[in-house]
Amino acid sequence: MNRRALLAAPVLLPAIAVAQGFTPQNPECIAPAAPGGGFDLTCRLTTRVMQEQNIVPVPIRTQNMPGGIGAVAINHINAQRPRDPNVLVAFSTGSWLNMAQGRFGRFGENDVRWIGAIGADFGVIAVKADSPFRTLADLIAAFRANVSAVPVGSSGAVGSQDWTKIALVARAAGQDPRRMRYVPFEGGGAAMAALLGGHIQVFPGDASEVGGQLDAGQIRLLAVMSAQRLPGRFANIPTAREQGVDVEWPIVRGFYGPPQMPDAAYNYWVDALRRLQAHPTWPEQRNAQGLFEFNMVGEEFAALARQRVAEYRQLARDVGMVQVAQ
Amino acid sequence: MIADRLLGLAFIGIACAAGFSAWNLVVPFAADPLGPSPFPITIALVMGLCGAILVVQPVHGFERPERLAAPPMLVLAMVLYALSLVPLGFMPATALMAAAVALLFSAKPAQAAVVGIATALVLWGLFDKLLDLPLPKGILPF
Amino acid sequence: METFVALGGGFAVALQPHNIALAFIGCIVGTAIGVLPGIGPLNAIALLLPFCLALRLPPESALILLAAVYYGSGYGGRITAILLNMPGEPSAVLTTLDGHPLAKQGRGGAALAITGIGSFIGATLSVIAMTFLSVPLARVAVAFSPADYVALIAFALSLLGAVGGVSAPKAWAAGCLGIMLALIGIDSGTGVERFTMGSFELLGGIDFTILAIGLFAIGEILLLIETRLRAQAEALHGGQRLTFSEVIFCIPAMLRASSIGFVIGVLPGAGASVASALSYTTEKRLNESNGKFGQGDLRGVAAPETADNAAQIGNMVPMLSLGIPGSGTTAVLLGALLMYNITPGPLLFEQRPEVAWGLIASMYIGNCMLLLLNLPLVGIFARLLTVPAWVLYPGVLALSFAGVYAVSNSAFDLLLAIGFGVMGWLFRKMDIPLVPIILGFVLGRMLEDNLRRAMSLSGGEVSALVASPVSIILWVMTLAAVVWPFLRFKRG
Repeated sequence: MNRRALLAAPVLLPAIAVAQGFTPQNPECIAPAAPGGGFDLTCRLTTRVMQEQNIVPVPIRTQNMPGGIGAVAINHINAQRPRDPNVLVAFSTGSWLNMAQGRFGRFGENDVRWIGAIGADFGVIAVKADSPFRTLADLIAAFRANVSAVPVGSSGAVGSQDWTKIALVARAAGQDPRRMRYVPFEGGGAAMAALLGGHIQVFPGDASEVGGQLDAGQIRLLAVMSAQRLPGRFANIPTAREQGVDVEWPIVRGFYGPPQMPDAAYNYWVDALRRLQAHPTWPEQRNAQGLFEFNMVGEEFAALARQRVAEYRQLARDVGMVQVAQ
Repeated sequence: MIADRLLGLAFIGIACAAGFSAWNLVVPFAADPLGPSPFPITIALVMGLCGAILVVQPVHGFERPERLAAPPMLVLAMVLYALSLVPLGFMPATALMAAAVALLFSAKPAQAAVVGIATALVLWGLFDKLLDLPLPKGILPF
Repeated sequence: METFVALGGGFAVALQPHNIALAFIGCIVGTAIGVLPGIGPLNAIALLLPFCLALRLPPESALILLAAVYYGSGYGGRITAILLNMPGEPSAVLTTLDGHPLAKQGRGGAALAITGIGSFIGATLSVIAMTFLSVPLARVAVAFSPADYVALIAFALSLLGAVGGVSAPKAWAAGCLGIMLALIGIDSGTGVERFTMGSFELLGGIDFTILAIGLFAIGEILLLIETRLRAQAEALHGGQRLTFSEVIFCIPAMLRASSIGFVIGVLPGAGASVASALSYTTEKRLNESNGKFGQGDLRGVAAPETADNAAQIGNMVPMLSLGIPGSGTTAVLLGALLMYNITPGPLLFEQRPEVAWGLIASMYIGNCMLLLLNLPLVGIFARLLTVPAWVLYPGVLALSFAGVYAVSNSAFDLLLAIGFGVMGWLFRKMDIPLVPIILGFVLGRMLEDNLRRAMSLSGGEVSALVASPVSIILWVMTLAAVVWPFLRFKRG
C-alpha cells in the first residue's frame, strides 16, 4: 500500500501540489466509532473513493477512536494535534447535538474546522401500515389531544437524534416535548420490530433504514423531514413542511479538521470534497452508504454547523438537557 | 476470614457510593415512570446486603500469594506498556512488554528477546498490514 | 415443496466454485476472528466490506463470505476458552466453566471435539428451522414485547444461582457488580450520565471486550505468574479421546441447547450470550443429580457452544425475513446489502431469491466445512498447551492489548482492562466467581432497559408485566426455578 503510494506520488503530486500549496502526507481519517459503526463507513468508503478517483493522490488510512461517543476524538485532536493538516474526523448531526448538550466537555462547534458534508440521510416519521394516523396532520392532532398518549419509540437516548426529531414535531404541535411518551430501543432494528409488533405507534427513523418495510407495505411514512421530496421510493411521501409543519431533520455526515488546521490544508480538503461531490461516480457510491445528496463545503457549511448547534443548544436549554453551560 | 470481611466492607462501600450517586442523579425531566435511579439503587441494596452477609459470615481466607513480587511487576509492565504505546510506538513497546512478561515466566534473556521481537512483528503485520488498522508508529519510521 | 425448489436454487448459487471458495475463506477468517480476543465478527465484517466492494464481488458472493465470517466466529471463541480459560468471544464465557477443568484433566481435545460437533448441530438445526419457519417465526419475534423480555431476563437471572460457585453472597455481589459496570454511561431513558465519575471516556459505557479481556485473560495470567503456572492446564497427554458414547450422551443437551439458542437468537434484542447462559444453566439444573458441572462435564461445554451457534443463525431470521437487524453484526450485514443497492426487507426472498436462498444454502455448506475443518484441527489446537509458557502468555497478552488498541486507539481502554485484570486476579484468589459478573453485565442492562420500556408503554402500570401468555409462562418458570432448590433440599 505505502510503497505503491510512494511510487505514484512523484508522478501525480506536482500538479496538485502547485494548485493547492499543500500536499497531504500520510493523511488519516478518524472515525469516532469502532469498525462497523456509521462513522467508520463514512471514513472507509469515502476515502476509498477519493483515492480510487485520484482526488487525493495518497491513501487515507482510517483510525477508529470510539471512546466516549466521540468525546475522545475531539479531545484527541484538540489536545494532541490542533495544527495537524493531515487529519480529518468524521461527524454527523449527532455530533452537533452532543456539542449542544455539552457532552464533549468544553469542546464545542468553534473548536474544530468544519470542512464539509458528503451527504445526508433524512428523518422520516413511520407508522405501521394499519395505523389510524394517515397523515402528519393526524399525528399532530393526536399530539394536541394528549401528547403522552402516543407511544413513540426509536433508537437512542432522550436528547439523541431520534428523540430530537420527534420532539421538534411535538413542539410544532404546540406541545411540551418533555411530556412525550418516548421509549428508547437498542438500535433502529429493535425499534422497527417494536413498531411492527404494535408495541409503539410511531417510529421516528431514518430514510435509509426503512426502505425494505416501506416497499413491502408494512409501514407508512407520514412525512420525510427534508427540504424537498426525496427521490426514488420516497417520491410520493410529502415533506413535513408541505404538510404545514416547519421541521427538517437531515442527518448530515461529513468531516471536520483540527481547530488550527492551516488554511492551505483546509482549502485543500474543502476542494477535495467539492471535487468528490462533482465526480460522476460519486452519487452511486454515496447512495451505497445510504446517503442522499447534500453538497455543502467550506465556510458556507461552517456557518450552517454553527447555526444548527445554536438551535439545538436552545432546544436542549428549553427542555433542561444542557450538561455544562457553554 | 479477615479477607472476606474486608471484601464484604468493600462491597458495602461500592454499594453505598453507587447508591448515593444514583440517588442524587438530577433528571432534566421525567421521561419514563421509573427514571434512572430506582434500578441501580435496588442493585446497590442487594450488593450491600451481600457485603453485610460476608462481614458477618466470612467463608474463606485470602490465599497468600506464592510469589509476592511477580504479579505487581507484571501489572507495572502492562501499565508502562499502555502509557508508552503512543510515544514509543507499537513495535518497540510491544517487544519490550512481551520480553518482560517472558522473563517473568522464567525465560532466559535471549529467549525473551526473541519472543518480544517476534510477537511485535507478527502482531504488527496482523493488525496494521492485514487488517489495515493503523497502530502507533512512534520512534520507528514505519 | 416451494421451499425445496427455492432452496435448490440457492444451492445452485452456493455451489458455484467461487462461492464455495469464498465460504471456505469466510469460515477460516471467522474461526480466526473468534480466537482473537479484541476483535469480534462485527469489526471483521466491517473491515472486509471495502475489500468485497473493491473486488467487485456480486452481492450474493459478498454476503456468503461475510456471513461465513459471522457464523464461523462462533466456532473460534471456544478454543481459548477451553484451553486457556480465556474466552475469545463474549458468548464463550460460559464455556470456560467446564471447558477449562476438562483441559486441566487432559481432556481439552475431547472438549474441543464435542463443542465442534455441538456447534455444527446447533447451527445446522437452526439453518433447517430457518429454511422452513423463517416467516412465521419472524412474526412471533416481533410480537415479543418489552414486558416479555423482562420475564425472559428474569428467568435467565433466576438460573444464575447455578453458576454461583461456593458462596451465594459472593456470587450475587459479583452479579450486582457486573450490573453496575453495565450501567456506566449515558442513561438512554433520560439522557443523564450515570457513574461516569466525570470522565468523558466513560460516556459511552464500558465495552464488553475490555471487561472480558481484563477479568479473564489478564486476571488468569496474573494468577498463573503468581502460582508458578500451577493452574495451567496439563498438555494433551493422558486425557482420553472423545468416545462415541460420550457424543450420544451429549445429544439431548445439544438438542435442547439448539432450540433455546435458536429461539433466543430470533428475538431481536437478546443474543448469543443470553442463549449460551440460558442453555448452560438449564442443563446444570436438569442434571443436578448426575452431573459434575463446574468440574468438567462434557455437557457443560456442549450446551453453551451449541446454543451460541444456534443463536447466531437465529439472529439472521429477522434480518432476512423482515429486514430487521437483531444485533450489531447483522446490522452491518444488512448495511452490506444496502451497499449493493439491495433493499433488505420482507420482499428480499421474492425480489432477490439468489441472494436470500444462496445465503441460506451456503450456510449448510459452510457449517459442514467448519465441522470438517475443526475436527481434524482439534489435535493441533490442543497442542497450544505444549507451547512453553514464556512464549504463549506474552503472545496472548500482547495480542489482547493489540486487539483492543487497534479498534479503539485508546490507552485509557488498556488501563481499564489492566484494572479489571487486577480485579479478576484478586477475585479468583478470594473465590469470587467471575461468570456472574459477565452475566450481570449482559443481563442487568437488558433488564433495566426493558423494565423501563414496559413501564413507559403501560404508563407505570405494573400489571403490564404479566399481560401476555408468554410472560406468564416465563414468570411461572422463574418462580419454579427459584423455589425448586428449596423443595429438593427439604426432600433430600
